[in-house]
Amino acid sequence: MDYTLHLVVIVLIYASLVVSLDLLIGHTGILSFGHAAFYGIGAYATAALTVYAGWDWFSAMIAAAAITAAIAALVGIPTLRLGGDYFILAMFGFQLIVITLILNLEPITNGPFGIRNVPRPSIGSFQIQSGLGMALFVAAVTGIIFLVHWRFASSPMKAMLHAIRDDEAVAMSLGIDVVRTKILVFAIGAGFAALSGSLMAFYFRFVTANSFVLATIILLWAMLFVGGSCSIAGAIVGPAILVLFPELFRFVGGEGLDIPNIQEALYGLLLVLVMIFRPQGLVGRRAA
Amino acid sequence: MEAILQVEEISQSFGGLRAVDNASFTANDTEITSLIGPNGAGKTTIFNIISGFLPCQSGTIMFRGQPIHELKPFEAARRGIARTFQDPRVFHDMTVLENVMVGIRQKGERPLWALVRGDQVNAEWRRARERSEAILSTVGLIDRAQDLARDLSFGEQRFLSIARSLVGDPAIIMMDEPTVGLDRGTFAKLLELMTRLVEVERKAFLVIEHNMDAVMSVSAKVVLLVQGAVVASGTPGEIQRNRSMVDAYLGRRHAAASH
Repeated sequence: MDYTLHLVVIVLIYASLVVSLDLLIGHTGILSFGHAAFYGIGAYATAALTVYAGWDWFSAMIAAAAITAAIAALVGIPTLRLGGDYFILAMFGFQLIVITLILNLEPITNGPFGIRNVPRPSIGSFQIQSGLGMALFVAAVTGIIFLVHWRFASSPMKAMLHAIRDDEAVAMSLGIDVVRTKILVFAIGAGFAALSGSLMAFYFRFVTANSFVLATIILLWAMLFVGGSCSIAGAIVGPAILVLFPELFRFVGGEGLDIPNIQEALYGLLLVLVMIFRPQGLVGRRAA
Repeated sequence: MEAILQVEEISQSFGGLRAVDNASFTANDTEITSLIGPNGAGKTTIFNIISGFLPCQSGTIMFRGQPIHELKPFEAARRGIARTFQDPRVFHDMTVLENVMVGIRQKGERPLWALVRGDQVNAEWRRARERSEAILSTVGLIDRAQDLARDLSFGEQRFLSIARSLVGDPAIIMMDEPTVGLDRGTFAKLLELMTRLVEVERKAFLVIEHNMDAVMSVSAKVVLLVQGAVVASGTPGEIQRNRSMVDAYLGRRHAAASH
């Protein structure tokens, strides 16, 4: 039961993260390789504010999202004007800078050791202790993130973002402020990624730079495209498959050292197969 | 006739190449003005400057008496200057109706409004839909409203791109070679639509066109550009009387075809 619950929580946290990535990549065409960094900034901000500053979980979450969105806006203002390829490179650079800062800003991040003993959220005088309680908490926040995303995707905002994604020049000629909209969406997406980071910090009660590295971004992209972009269902299916499928190998046995390598190779293989046979993702409708 | 667009002494260089050379002309309200000239004469460059896609290096552009040469593309569009491109460039993954609705700016596009929504946003959205359907009726695509834009023929996509630029109720529509790739029937329909928009909806058009039949039959005014400079402008009749010039720059066939 605990193991199953653990897997459900992991899938939900990744699902919440894939939703915000989908807002950027799927809907707006912002090919962000910086998402793991924003996820990490959110997790660290939450951990630092609760552990060192003694903030309550709710204020820490909101502040983490606001800080991360502000950082994204500052990063986005110069970089989102760049063409697609240059933006991707700039995001790789940003990712490297964030990891370096996390490892070296010891007064805030405790360097390579990470921040421990992040307190569990409490509602009123009730502190969440059980695994089930945490699962419900994660599910509730993920549900809110999904709800916001669904509201966006069922409003006039969707067509405007898709216009920017499909043809920026035409979008401008129709009176859309493309640069401003992209910066705004980038900041919103980063803010939501930070909320996923908060969930991660509260659930594991521990944050470390290892969770926000380049491999995390590749995993997130794989989840998005395996499930299918611009699809609410895809944002659950993708993470579910990429989290649960490798877990099956725990039961197959095999030499311990090989398992992580086999898992890595499986992500790759799965991604290649999906792109060849189902480019719109397993439950998505739009070709990548 | 009142001038809606006044282009005064604009120039544009790309490196050493002078693409537009001190060009001046005006386009009048509720008329079709055509820009003609050989390839490389700077017609599309002038379009890009007027619509804000290229910064104006020198000269001024006035739209309804206001300077617009420092506006960004989206600002020019919001002032009432619509443009189409040489290719239809419709949004393939959207339906025909969605393509047109994108041309209307609304509150519900902003994140907070989209999130909270409410009667105001929904009412605006509904009006946008009704207006888009009306425009689709005007251009003859209402039966295809729910089809994906990718499934339209090339000619239909052209009409869709025009509908999309019209829906924001611009004062002037700039069209870059709108008749290219159209068969005779569609061609005639397009000219008929433009004439109707001018006469009924009181629109102005600025059109880049190589087809002299189209230019001479619907334009109130023709501007001949050569190597970035305006070498002649006037009514189609005046331009035609100046046959040697049209001959020299556009070739005999065009001059002959225009009779």
